[in-house]
Amino acid sequence: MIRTTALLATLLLASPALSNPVAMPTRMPAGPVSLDAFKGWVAVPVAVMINGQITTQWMLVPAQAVAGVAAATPAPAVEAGAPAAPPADPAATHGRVIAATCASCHGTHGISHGAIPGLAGLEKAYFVKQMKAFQDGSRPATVMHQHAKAYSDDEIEQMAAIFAAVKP
Amino acid sequence: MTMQRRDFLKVSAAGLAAAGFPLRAHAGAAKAKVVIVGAGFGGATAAKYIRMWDPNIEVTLIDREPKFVSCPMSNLVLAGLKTLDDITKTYDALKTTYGVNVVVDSVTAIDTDKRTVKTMNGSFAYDRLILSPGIDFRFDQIEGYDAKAQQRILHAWKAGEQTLKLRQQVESMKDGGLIVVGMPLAPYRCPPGPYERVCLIANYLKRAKPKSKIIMLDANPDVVSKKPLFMKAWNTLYSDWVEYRPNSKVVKVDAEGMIASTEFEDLKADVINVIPPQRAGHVAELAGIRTDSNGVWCPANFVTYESKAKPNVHVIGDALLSNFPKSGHMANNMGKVCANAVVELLNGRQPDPVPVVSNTCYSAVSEDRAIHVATVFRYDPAKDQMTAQPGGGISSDLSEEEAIYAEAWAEGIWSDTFL
Repeated sequence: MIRTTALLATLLLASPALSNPVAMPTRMPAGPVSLDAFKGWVAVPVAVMINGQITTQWMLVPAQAVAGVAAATPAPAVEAGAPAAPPADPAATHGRVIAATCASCHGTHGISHGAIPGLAGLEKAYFVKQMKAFQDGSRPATVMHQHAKAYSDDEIEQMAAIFAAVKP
Repeated sequence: MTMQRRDFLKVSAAGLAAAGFPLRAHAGAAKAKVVIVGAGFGGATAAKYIRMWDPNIEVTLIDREPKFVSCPMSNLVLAGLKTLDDITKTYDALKTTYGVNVVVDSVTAIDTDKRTVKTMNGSFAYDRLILSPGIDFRFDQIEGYDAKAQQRILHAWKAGEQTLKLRQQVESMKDGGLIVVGMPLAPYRCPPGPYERVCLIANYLKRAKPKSKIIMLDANPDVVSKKPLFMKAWNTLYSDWVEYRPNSKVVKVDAEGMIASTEFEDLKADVINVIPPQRAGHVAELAGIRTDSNGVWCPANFVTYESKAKPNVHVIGDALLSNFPKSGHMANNMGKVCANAVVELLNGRQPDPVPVVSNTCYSAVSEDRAIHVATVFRYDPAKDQMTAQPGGGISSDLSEEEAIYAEAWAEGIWSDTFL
Protein backbone atom coordinates (compact mmCIF):
# COMPACT_ATOMS: atom_id res chain seq x y z
CA MET A 1 0.00 0.00 0.00
CA ILE A 2 2.68 2.47 0.99
CA ARG A 3 4.81 1.49 -1.96
CA THR A 4 1.86 1.91 -4.34
CA THR A 5 1.07 5.36 -2.98
CA ALA A 6 4.63 6.50 -3.30
CA LEU A 7 4.73 5.25 -6.88
CA LEU A 8 1.56 7.13 -7.74
CA ALA A 9 2.87 10.28 -6.13
CA THR A 10 6.00 9.98 -8.25
CA LEU A 11 3.88 9.54 -11.36
CA LEU A 12 1.89 12.63 -10.48
CA LEU A 13 4.94 14.78 -9.91
CA ALA A 14 6.46 13.59 -13.17
CA SER A 15 3.37 14.45 -15.17
CA PRO A 16 4.03 17.27 -17.67
CA ALA A 17 0.67 18.80 -16.81
CA LEU A 18 2.08 19.56 -13.38
CA SER A 19 5.31 21.23 -14.32
CA ASN A 20 4.16 24.83 -14.78
CA PRO A 21 4.22 26.91 -11.60
CA VAL A 22 1.94 29.59 -13.04
CA ALA A 23 -0.73 27.04 -13.77
CA MET A 24 0.40 25.11 -10.72
CA PRO A 25 0.88 27.25 -7.67
CA THR A 26 2.54 25.21 -4.94
CA ARG A 27 -0.47 25.07 -2.73
CA MET A 28 -2.80 22.55 -1.26
CA PRO A 29 -5.87 22.10 -3.46
CA ALA A 30 -9.28 22.42 -1.87
CA GLY A 31 -10.17 18.85 -2.55
CA PRO A 32 -9.71 15.97 -4.95
CA VAL A 33 -8.27 17.01 -8.28
CA SER A 34 -8.98 15.45 -11.64
CA LEU A 35 -6.12 14.71 -13.98
CA ASP A 36 -6.24 14.61 -17.74
CA ALA A 37 -3.63 11.89 -17.86
CA PHE A 38 -5.65 9.62 -15.58
CA LYS A 39 -9.16 9.92 -16.90
CA GLY A 40 -11.82 8.92 -14.42
CA TRP A 41 -9.39 9.12 -11.53
CA VAL A 42 -8.63 11.90 -9.11
CA ALA A 43 -5.71 12.56 -6.79
CA VAL A 44 -6.41 13.04 -3.11
CA PRO A 45 -3.98 13.83 -0.33
CA VAL A 46 -3.75 11.16 2.33
CA ALA A 47 -1.69 10.86 5.46
CA VAL A 48 0.28 7.63 5.78
CA MET A 49 2.37 6.27 8.58
CA ILE A 50 5.93 5.40 7.54
CA ASN A 51 8.40 4.35 10.22
CA GLY A 52 6.23 5.94 12.87
CA GLN A 53 6.13 9.31 11.06
CA ILE A 54 2.97 10.70 9.53
CA THR A 55 3.68 12.04 6.05
CA THR A 56 1.42 13.26 3.31
CA GLN A 57 1.16 11.34 0.08
CA TRP A 58 -0.99 11.65 -2.98
CA MET A 59 -3.24 8.81 -3.95
CA LEU A 60 -5.18 8.14 -7.14
CA VAL A 61 -8.75 7.00 -6.57
CA PRO A 62 -11.77 6.56 -8.88
CA ALA A 63 -13.51 9.89 -9.40
CA GLN A 64 -16.91 8.57 -8.30
CA ALA A 65 -15.46 7.54 -4.96
CA VAL A 66 -15.09 11.17 -3.94
CA ALA A 67 -17.78 12.75 -6.12
CA GLY A 68 -19.69 14.00 -3.07
CA VAL A 69 -16.64 15.70 -1.62
CA ALA A 70 -15.74 17.28 -4.95
CA ALA A 71 -19.24 18.67 -5.40
CA ALA A 72 -19.13 20.27 -1.97
CA THR A 73 -15.85 22.03 -2.75
CA PRO A 74 -16.45 25.65 -3.71
CA ALA A 75 -14.92 26.80 -6.99
CA PRO A 76 -11.95 29.08 -6.46
CA ALA A 77 -12.47 32.72 -7.46
CA VAL A 78 -9.27 32.83 -9.51
CA GLU A 79 -7.83 30.31 -11.90
CA ALA A 80 -6.70 27.41 -9.78
CA GLY A 81 -4.84 25.36 -12.35
CA ALA A 82 -3.50 21.92 -11.57
CA PRO A 83 -2.49 20.78 -8.10
CA ALA A 84 0.85 20.46 -6.45
CA ALA A 85 1.88 18.01 -3.83
CA PRO A 86 1.83 19.64 -0.42
CA PRO A 87 5.24 20.70 0.87
CA ALA A 88 6.93 17.80 2.57
CA ASP A 89 9.22 19.87 4.76
CA PRO A 90 9.13 23.35 6.30
CA ALA A 91 11.58 24.72 3.73
CA ALA A 92 9.43 23.64 0.80
CA THR A 93 8.07 27.13 0.19
CA HIS A 94 11.48 28.82 0.43
CA GLY A 95 11.95 28.71 -3.34
CA ARG A 96 8.64 30.28 -4.25
CA VAL A 97 9.19 33.11 -1.78
CA ILE A 98 12.68 34.04 -3.00
CA ALA A 99 11.45 33.78 -6.60
CA ALA A 100 8.58 36.08 -5.63
CA THR A 101 11.03 38.65 -4.25
CA CYS A 102 12.61 38.87 -7.75
CA ALA A 103 9.17 39.89 -9.01
CA SER A 104 9.35 43.31 -7.33
CA CYS A 105 11.60 44.46 -10.21
CA HIS A 106 11.17 41.72 -12.81
CA GLY A 107 7.35 41.49 -12.62
CA THR A 108 5.04 38.89 -11.09
CA HIS A 109 6.14 35.39 -12.25
CA GLY A 110 9.13 37.13 -13.87
CA ILE A 111 6.92 38.67 -16.56
CA SER A 112 8.44 42.13 -16.99
CA HIS A 113 6.49 45.34 -17.55
CA GLY A 114 9.36 47.55 -18.62
CA ALA A 115 13.06 47.89 -19.33
CA ILE A 116 14.11 45.41 -16.66
CA PRO A 117 14.59 42.03 -18.39
CA GLY A 118 11.91 39.39 -17.82
CA LEU A 119 12.81 36.06 -16.22
CA ALA A 120 9.74 34.09 -17.34
CA GLY A 121 10.62 31.10 -19.46
CA LEU A 122 14.40 31.52 -19.27
CA GLU A 123 16.13 28.22 -19.77
CA LYS A 124 17.19 26.86 -16.39
CA ALA A 125 20.87 26.40 -17.25
CA TYR A 126 21.03 29.90 -18.75
CA PHE A 127 19.53 31.46 -15.59
CA VAL A 128 22.02 29.60 -13.37
CA LYS A 129 24.95 30.61 -15.58
CA GLN A 130 23.95 34.29 -15.54
CA MET A 131 23.59 34.33 -11.75
CA LYS A 132 27.06 32.80 -11.40
CA ALA A 133 28.41 35.36 -13.86
CA PHE A 134 26.89 38.16 -11.77
CA GLN A 135 28.45 36.60 -8.67
CA ASP A 136 31.98 36.39 -10.08
CA GLY A 137 31.74 39.68 -11.96
CA SER A 138 32.21 38.18 -15.42
CA ARG A 139 28.86 39.67 -16.47
CA PRO A 140 28.91 43.42 -15.81
CA ALA A 141 25.80 44.81 -14.13
CA THR A 142 24.44 47.91 -12.45
CA VAL A 143 22.69 46.06 -9.62
CA MET A 144 22.47 42.30 -10.20
CA HIS A 145 26.04 41.66 -9.05
CA GLN A 146 24.97 43.01 -5.64
CA HIS A 147 21.88 40.78 -5.41
CA ALA A 148 23.37 37.60 -6.86
CA LYS A 149 26.05 37.23 -4.19
CA ALA A 150 23.43 36.75 -1.49
CA TYR A 151 22.05 33.44 -2.81
CA SER A 152 23.34 29.89 -2.45
CA ASP A 153 23.79 27.52 -5.40
CA ASP A 154 20.75 25.59 -4.26
CA GLU A 155 18.61 28.73 -4.08
CA ILE A 156 19.71 29.75 -7.58
CA GLU A 157 18.71 26.29 -8.84
CA GLN A 158 15.29 26.65 -7.20
CA MET A 159 14.69 30.10 -8.71
CA ALA A 160 15.88 28.87 -12.11
CA ALA A 161 13.45 25.95 -12.06
CA ILE A 162 10.53 28.17 -11.11
CA PHE A 163 11.15 30.77 -13.83
CA ALA A 164 12.00 28.14 -16.47
CA ALA A 165 8.55 26.64 -16.02
CA VAL A 166 6.68 29.90 -16.59
CA LYS A 167 5.29 30.53 -20.07
CA PRO A 168 6.34 34.12 -20.87
CA MET B 1 -6.41 -5.54 0.27
CA THR B 2 -9.72 -4.16 -0.89
CA MET B 3 -11.10 -0.88 0.23
CA GLN B 4 -14.74 0.04 0.30
CA ARG B 5 -15.66 3.56 -0.68
CA ARG B 6 -16.96 4.39 2.77
CA ASP B 7 -13.84 3.02 4.44
CA PHE B 8 -11.65 4.99 2.10
CA LEU B 9 -13.37 8.27 2.92
CA LYS B 10 -13.07 7.53 6.62
CA VAL B 11 -9.36 6.80 6.31
CA SER B 12 -8.84 9.82 4.10
CA ALA B 13 -10.60 12.21 6.45
CA ALA B 14 -8.75 10.87 9.47
CA GLY B 15 -5.49 11.11 7.57
CA LEU B 16 -6.15 14.68 6.59
CA ALA B 17 -6.97 15.65 10.13
CA ALA B 18 -3.81 13.95 11.39
CA ALA B 19 -1.76 15.83 8.82
CA GLY B 20 -3.24 19.09 10.04
CA PHE B 21 -5.24 20.03 6.96
CA PRO B 22 -8.21 22.29 7.63
CA LEU B 23 -11.09 20.00 6.95
CA ARG B 24 -13.59 22.85 6.85
CA ALA B 25 -12.27 23.85 3.42
CA HIS B 26 -12.83 20.33 2.13
CA ALA B 27 -16.29 20.12 3.54
CA GLY B 28 -17.24 23.43 1.90
CA ALA B 29 -17.73 25.05 5.30
CA ALA B 30 -16.44 28.48 6.31
CA LYS B 31 -13.27 29.52 4.51
CA ALA B 32 -10.29 30.84 6.38
CA LYS B 33 -10.50 34.62 6.62
CA VAL B 34 -7.64 37.07 6.38
CA VAL B 35 -8.21 40.78 6.95
CA ILE B 36 -5.52 43.21 5.83
CA VAL B 37 -5.48 46.86 6.89
CA GLY B 38 -3.46 49.24 4.73
CA ALA B 39 -3.44 48.83 0.94
CA GLY B 40 0.03 50.17 0.18
CA PHE B 41 3.08 48.23 -1.01
CA GLY B 42 2.89 45.87 2.00
CA GLY B 43 -0.82 45.20 2.37
CA ALA B 44 -1.77 45.08 -1.31
CA THR B 45 1.12 42.71 -2.07
CA ALA B 46 0.13 40.42 0.80
CA ALA B 47 -3.49 40.37 -0.44
CA LYS B 48 -2.50 39.49 -4.02
CA TYR B 49 -0.02 36.78 -3.08
CA ILE B 50 -2.31 35.10 -0.54
CA ARG B 51 -4.97 34.81 -3.24
CA MET B 52 -2.37 33.57 -5.76
CA TRP B 53 -1.02 30.93 -3.42
CA ASP B 54 -4.31 29.82 -1.89
CA PRO B 55 -7.55 30.95 -3.56
CA ASN B 56 -9.49 29.17 -0.81
CA ILE B 57 -8.58 31.89 1.67
CA GLU B 58 -10.95 34.84 1.79
CA VAL B 59 -9.05 38.14 1.80
CA THR B 60 -10.48 41.51 2.79
CA LEU B 61 -8.24 44.53 2.18
CA ILE B 62 -9.22 47.73 3.99
CA ASP B 63 -7.88 51.22 3.30
CA ARG B 64 -9.34 54.66 3.94
CA GLU B 65 -8.20 55.88 0.51
CA PRO B 66 -10.00 54.77 -2.68
CA LYS B 67 -6.78 54.89 -4.71
CA PHE B 68 -3.08 54.44 -4.06
CA VAL B 69 -0.68 57.33 -4.62
CA SER B 70 2.94 56.17 -4.74
CA CYS B 71 5.55 57.80 -2.53
CA PRO B 72 8.31 56.40 -4.79
CA MET B 73 8.51 58.73 -7.82
CA SER B 74 6.52 61.47 -6.02
CA ASN B 75 9.59 63.72 -5.76
CA LEU B 76 9.50 63.85 -9.56
CA VAL B 77 6.08 65.51 -9.27
CA LEU B 78 7.69 68.23 -7.11
CA ALA B 79 10.18 68.87 -9.92
CA GLY B 80 7.42 69.03 -12.53
CA LEU B 81 8.78 65.89 -14.22
CA LYS B 82 5.74 63.71 -13.49
CA THR B 83 2.06 64.27 -12.70
CA LEU B 84 0.07 62.90 -9.78
CA ASP B 85 -1.88 60.79 -12.30
CA ASP B 86 1.36 59.07 -13.32
CA ILE B 87 1.88 57.78 -9.78
CA THR B 88 -1.75 56.96 -8.88
CA LYS B 89 -2.86 53.31 -9.01
CA THR B 90 -6.26 51.64 -8.53
CA TYR B 91 -7.28 48.48 -6.70
CA ASP B 92 -9.35 47.24 -9.66
CA ALA B 93 -7.09 44.30 -10.59
CA LEU B 94 -6.88 43.13 -6.98
CA LYS B 95 -10.67 42.87 -7.04
CA THR B 96 -11.26 41.45 -10.51
CA THR B 97 -8.16 39.32 -11.16
CA TYR B 98 -7.45 38.09 -7.63
CA GLY B 99 -10.86 38.21 -5.97
CA VAL B 100 -9.73 40.42 -3.09
CA ASN B 101 -12.59 42.05 -1.20
CA VAL B 102 -11.44 45.70 -1.22
CA VAL B 103 -13.14 47.91 1.36
CA VAL B 104 -12.66 51.69 1.41
CA ASP B 105 -13.31 52.65 5.01
CA SER B 106 -11.59 53.85 8.19
CA VAL B 107 -10.74 51.33 10.89
CA THR B 108 -12.12 52.45 14.25
CA ALA B 109 -11.37 49.50 16.55
CA ILE B 110 -9.56 46.17 16.60
CA ASP B 111 -10.53 43.45 19.08
CA THR B 112 -7.65 40.98 19.09
CA ASP B 113 -9.45 38.62 21.52
CA LYS B 114 -12.62 38.34 19.46
CA ARG B 115 -10.57 38.69 16.24
CA THR B 116 -12.69 41.47 14.80
CA VAL B 117 -11.86 44.68 12.92
CA LYS B 118 -14.45 47.44 13.14
CA THR B 119 -14.71 50.21 10.56
CA MET B 120 -16.99 53.25 10.34
CA ASN B 121 -19.46 51.19 8.31
CA GLY B 122 -18.79 47.55 9.06
CA SER B 123 -17.23 44.77 11.05
CA PHE B 124 -14.85 42.07 9.79
CA ALA B 125 -13.99 38.80 11.53
CA TYR B 126 -10.56 37.29 10.88
CA ASP B 127 -8.54 34.16 11.47
CA ARG B 128 -5.38 36.15 10.80
CA LEU B 129 -4.97 39.92 10.62
CA ILE B 130 -2.20 41.65 8.66
CA LEU B 131 -1.51 45.29 9.45
CA SER B 132 0.46 47.40 7.02
CA PRO B 133 -0.42 50.76 8.54
CA GLY B 134 2.54 52.81 7.34
CA ILE B 135 3.53 55.82 9.41
CA ASP B 136 1.97 58.63 11.41
CA PHE B 137 3.70 61.95 11.92
CA ARG B 138 4.75 63.17 15.36
CA PHE B 139 4.05 66.86 14.85
CA ASP B 140 4.18 67.34 18.63
CA GLN B 141 7.95 66.79 18.51
CA ILE B 142 8.38 70.17 16.76
CA GLU B 143 7.25 73.30 18.55
CA GLY B 144 4.66 75.30 16.64
CA TYR B 145 3.91 72.55 14.08
CA ASP B 146 0.20 72.55 15.00
CA ALA B 147 -2.83 71.94 12.80
CA LYS B 148 -2.85 75.53 11.60
CA ALA B 149 0.87 75.57 10.81
CA GLN B 150 0.44 72.31 8.91
CA GLN B 151 -1.72 74.18 6.38
CA ARG B 152 1.28 76.22 5.30
CA ILE B 153 4.30 74.15 6.28
CA LEU B 154 3.88 70.87 4.49
CA HIS B 155 5.46 67.45 4.99
CA ALA B 156 4.54 66.01 1.57
CA TRP B 157 5.83 62.71 3.00
CA LYS B 158 2.64 60.87 2.16
CA ALA B 159 2.06 61.29 -1.56
CA GLY B 160 -1.16 62.90 -2.73
CA GLU B 161 -2.67 66.29 -2.03
CA GLN B 162 0.39 67.39 -0.03
CA THR B 163 2.64 66.58 -3.01
CA LEU B 164 0.57 68.81 -5.28
CA LYS B 165 0.44 71.63 -2.71
CA LEU B 166 4.20 71.63 -2.20
CA ARG B 167 4.66 71.61 -5.97
CA GLN B 168 2.40 74.69 -6.15
CA GLN B 169 4.36 76.44 -3.38
CA VAL B 170 7.65 75.83 -5.16
CA GLU B 171 6.22 76.80 -8.53
CA SER B 172 4.65 80.06 -7.31
CA MET B 173 7.75 81.14 -5.39
CA LYS B 174 9.56 84.20 -6.78
CA ASP B 175 12.94 83.69 -8.43
CA GLY B 176 15.55 84.44 -5.79
CA GLY B 177 13.52 82.75 -3.07
CA LEU B 178 14.75 80.37 -0.37
CA ILE B 179 13.38 76.88 0.24
CA VAL B 180 14.15 75.07 3.51
CA VAL B 181 13.74 71.30 3.76
CA GLY B 182 13.94 69.78 7.26
CA MET B 183 14.31 66.06 7.86
CA PRO B 184 14.17 63.94 11.04
CA LEU B 185 16.59 61.60 12.75
CA ALA B 186 16.61 58.02 11.42
CA PRO B 187 14.66 55.78 11.35
CA TYR B 188 12.07 57.40 9.10
CA ARG B 189 10.20 56.41 5.92
CA CYS B 190 12.45 56.18 2.82
CA PRO B 191 16.05 56.84 3.92
CA PRO B 192 17.28 58.44 0.64
CA GLY B 193 13.98 60.23 -0.06
CA PRO B 194 14.74 63.60 1.55
CA TYR B 195 18.06 63.86 -0.31
CA GLU B 196 16.39 62.91 -3.59
CA ARG B 197 13.82 65.63 -2.91
CA VAL B 198 16.55 68.24 -2.47
CA CYS B 199 18.16 67.13 -5.76
CA LEU B 200 14.91 67.31 -7.70
CA ILE B 201 13.73 70.63 -6.28
CA ALA B 202 17.20 72.00 -7.08
CA ASN B 203 16.84 70.55 -10.57
CA TYR B 204 13.64 72.57 -10.98
CA LEU B 205 15.21 75.75 -9.55
CA LYS B 206 18.19 75.40 -11.88
CA ARG B 207 15.84 75.21 -14.86
CA ALA B 208 13.10 77.66 -13.85
CA LYS B 209 14.28 79.90 -10.97
CA PRO B 210 18.08 79.99 -11.16
CA LYS B 211 18.52 82.77 -8.57
CA SER B 212 16.77 80.68 -5.90
CA LYS B 213 18.32 78.38 -3.34
CA ILE B 214 17.53 75.35 -1.18
CA ILE B 215 18.92 74.65 2.29
CA MET B 216 18.62 71.19 3.79
CA LEU B 217 18.45 70.93 7.59
CA ASP B 218 19.33 67.32 8.44
CA ALA B 219 18.80 66.20 12.03
CA ASN B 220 21.31 63.38 11.40
CA PRO B 221 25.07 63.82 11.82
CA ASP B 222 25.62 62.88 8.17
CA VAL B 223 23.82 61.91 4.96
CA VAL B 224 21.94 58.73 5.90
CA SER B 225 21.79 57.00 2.51
CA LYS B 226 23.85 56.87 -0.73
CA LYS B 227 26.09 59.60 0.70
CA PRO B 228 28.89 59.80 -1.90
CA LEU B 229 26.37 59.84 -4.73
CA PHE B 230 24.14 62.57 -3.30
CA MET B 231 27.23 64.61 -2.39
CA LYS B 232 28.44 64.25 -5.94
CA ALA B 233 25.08 65.40 -7.31
CA TRP B 234 25.06 68.45 -5.05
CA ASN B 235 28.71 69.30 -5.79
CA THR B 236 28.60 68.81 -9.54
CA LEU B 237 25.01 69.49 -10.65
CA TYR B 238 23.66 71.82 -7.98
CA SER B 239 26.57 73.56 -6.27
CA ASP B 240 24.94 77.00 -6.79
CA TRP B 241 21.58 75.87 -5.50
CA VAL B 242 22.01 73.38 -2.63
CA GLU B 243 23.42 73.91 0.85
CA TYR B 244 23.50 70.87 3.13
CA ARG B 245 23.66 71.26 6.93
CA PRO B 246 24.09 68.13 9.10
CA ASN B 247 23.30 68.06 12.86
CA SER B 248 20.55 70.58 12.21
CA LYS B 249 17.33 69.29 13.69
CA VAL B 250 14.31 71.52 13.15
CA VAL B 251 12.98 72.06 16.68
CA LYS B 252 10.49 74.84 16.02
CA VAL B 253 8.51 76.34 13.17
CA ASP B 254 6.70 79.66 12.87
CA ALA B 255 4.17 79.46 10.06
CA GLU B 256 3.15 83.14 10.37
CA GLY B 257 6.68 84.47 10.10
CA MET B 258 7.81 81.54 7.88
CA ILE B 259 10.75 80.67 10.13
CA ALA B 260 12.32 77.25 10.70
CA SER B 261 14.52 77.06 13.81
CA THR B 262 17.28 74.67 14.80
CA GLU B 263 19.07 74.78 18.16
CA PHE B 264 21.58 77.15 16.55
CA GLU B 265 19.73 79.45 14.16
CA ASP B 266 16.43 80.80 12.81
CA LEU B 267 15.99 80.59 9.05
CA LYS B 268 13.42 82.76 7.29
CA ALA B 269 12.31 81.15 4.05
CA ASP B 270 9.74 81.44 1.26
CA VAL B 271 8.86 77.75 1.31
CA ILE B 272 9.36 75.52 4.37
CA ASN B 273 9.00 71.77 4.02
CA VAL B 274 9.47 69.90 7.29
CA ILE B 275 9.30 66.10 7.40
CA PRO B 276 8.45 65.33 11.05
CA PRO B 277 9.64 62.36 13.12
CA GLN B 278 7.43 59.30 12.63
CA ARG B 279 5.96 56.23 14.27
CA ALA B 280 3.88 53.24 13.21
CA GLY B 281 0.44 54.25 11.95
CA HIS B 282 -2.55 54.68 14.27
CA VAL B 283 -4.05 51.31 13.29
CA ALA B 284 -1.08 49.60 14.98
CA GLU B 285 -1.99 51.36 18.22
CA LEU B 286 -5.62 50.22 17.87
CA ALA B 287 -4.36 46.63 17.77
CA GLY B 288 -2.01 47.19 20.72
CA ILE B 289 1.11 46.18 18.81
CA ARG B 290 3.10 49.46 18.86
CA THR B 291 5.06 48.05 21.75
CA ASP B 292 8.78 48.80 21.34
CA SER B 293 10.45 50.55 24.26
CA ASN B 294 9.36 53.99 23.04
CA GLY B 295 5.90 52.94 21.90
CA VAL B 296 6.87 53.98 18.37
CA TRP B 297 7.37 50.86 16.20
CA CYS B 298 5.98 47.30 16.18
CA PRO B 299 8.16 44.32 17.17
CA ALA B 300 7.42 41.11 15.24
CA ASN B 301 9.19 37.89 14.34
CA PHE B 302 10.90 37.77 10.96
CA VAL B 303 9.62 34.34 9.90
CA THR B 304 5.90 35.14 9.94
CA TYR B 305 5.80 38.86 10.83
CA GLU B 306 3.44 37.94 13.64
CA SER B 307 3.43 40.65 16.29
CA LYS B 308 5.36 39.87 19.46
CA ALA B 309 2.52 41.46 21.43
CA LYS B 310 -0.60 39.86 19.90
CA PRO B 311 -1.12 36.40 18.41
CA ASN B 312 -2.69 36.14 14.94
CA VAL B 313 -1.82 39.78 14.21
CA HIS B 314 0.94 40.29 11.65
CA VAL B 315 2.68 43.58 10.89
CA ILE B 316 4.65 44.55 7.79
CA GLY B 317 6.05 47.64 6.11
CA ASP B 318 7.31 50.88 7.61
CA ALA B 319 5.56 50.18 10.94
CA LEU B 320 7.86 47.24 11.76
CA LEU B 321 10.65 47.53 14.33
CA SER B 322 13.69 46.26 12.41
CA ASN B 323 17.02 47.06 10.82
CA PHE B 324 15.30 47.25 7.40
CA PRO B 325 15.20 50.46 5.43
CA LYS B 326 11.60 51.69 5.56
CA SER B 327 11.01 51.40 1.82
CA GLY B 328 8.18 50.39 -0.50
CA HIS B 329 10.39 47.62 -1.87
CA MET B 330 10.91 46.14 1.59
CA ALA B 331 7.17 46.38 2.30
CA ASN B 332 6.44 44.52 -0.95
CA ASN B 333 8.94 41.79 -0.01
CA MET B 334 7.61 41.51 3.54
CA GLY B 335 4.12 41.22 2.03
CA LYS B 336 5.24 38.07 0.21
CA VAL B 337 6.99 36.44 3.17
CA CYS B 338 3.98 37.22 5.36
CA ALA B 339 1.53 35.98 2.69
CA ASN B 340 3.42 32.70 2.44
CA ALA B 341 3.54 32.30 6.22
CA VAL B 342 -0.17 33.02 6.60
CA VAL B 343 -1.08 30.58 3.81
CA GLU B 344 1.09 27.85 5.31
CA LEU B 345 -0.15 28.41 8.88
CA LEU B 346 -3.81 28.43 7.83
CA ASN B 347 -3.20 25.13 6.03
CA GLY B 348 -1.61 23.57 9.09
CA ARG B 349 1.93 23.65 7.69
CA GLN B 350 5.15 25.34 8.70
CA PRO B 351 6.22 28.55 6.95
CA ASP B 352 9.61 29.06 5.27
CA PRO B 353 11.96 28.92 8.31
CA VAL B 354 14.74 31.07 6.80
CA PRO B 355 13.15 33.88 4.76
CA VAL B 356 15.26 36.08 2.50
CA VAL B 357 14.10 39.56 1.50
CA SER B 358 15.74 42.21 -0.61
CA ASN B 359 15.70 45.94 -1.11
CA THR B 360 16.40 47.82 -4.31
CA CYS B 361 15.88 51.53 -4.06
CA TYR B 362 16.41 54.02 -6.87
CA SER B 363 16.67 57.78 -6.42
CA ALA B 364 16.49 60.27 -9.27
CA VAL B 365 19.09 63.00 -8.98
CA SER B 366 18.11 64.85 -12.16
CA GLU B 367 15.74 64.51 -15.12
CA ASP B 368 18.02 61.91 -16.70
CA ARG B 369 20.23 60.44 -14.01
CA ALA B 370 19.55 58.08 -11.10
CA ILE B 371 21.34 56.05 -8.43
CA HIS B 372 20.44 53.03 -6.32
CA VAL B 373 21.19 51.06 -3.16
CA ALA B 374 20.64 47.28 -3.00
CA THR B 375 20.70 44.97 0.04
CA VAL B 376 19.60 41.38 0.64
CA PHE B 377 18.64 40.33 4.18
CA ARG B 378 18.59 36.72 5.38
CA TYR B 379 17.07 35.41 8.59
CA ASP B 380 19.61 34.17 11.12
CA PRO B 381 17.75 31.81 13.49
CA ALA B 382 20.65 31.72 15.98
CA LYS B 383 20.57 35.50 16.45
CA ASP B 384 16.86 35.91 15.68
CA GLN B 385 17.63 38.78 13.34
CA MET B 386 17.77 39.67 9.67
CA THR B 387 21.37 39.94 8.50
CA ALA B 388 22.48 42.04 5.56
CA GLN B 389 24.20 39.69 3.11
CA PRO B 390 27.59 40.28 1.50
CA GLY B 391 27.51 41.95 -1.89
CA GLY B 392 25.04 44.76 -1.29
CA GLY B 393 25.97 48.32 -2.12
CA ILE B 394 25.32 51.48 -4.09
CA SER B 395 25.76 52.63 -7.69
CA SER B 396 29.27 53.32 -8.93
CA ASP B 397 28.19 56.73 -10.27
CA LEU B 398 25.28 58.96 -11.26
CA SER B 399 23.92 57.05 -14.21
CA GLU B 400 21.74 57.63 -17.26
CA GLU B 401 21.25 53.88 -17.64
CA GLU B 402 19.97 53.70 -14.08
CA ALA B 403 17.46 56.46 -14.79
CA ILE B 404 15.87 54.03 -17.27
CA TYR B 405 15.98 51.24 -14.67
CA ALA B 406 14.51 53.56 -12.02
CA GLU B 407 11.44 54.10 -14.24
CA ALA B 408 11.23 50.37 -14.96
CA TRP B 409 11.60 49.57 -11.26
CA ALA B 410 8.55 51.72 -10.51
CA GLU B 411 6.51 50.09 -13.28
CA GLY B 412 7.66 46.69 -12.04
CA ILE B 413 6.79 47.15 -8.39
CA TRP B 414 3.49 48.89 -9.14
CA SER B 415 2.48 45.99 -11.38
CA ASP B 416 3.73 43.37 -8.90
CA THR B 417 1.73 45.03 -6.13
CA PHE B 418 -1.48 46.10 -7.86
CA LEU B 419 -1.83 44.24 -11.19
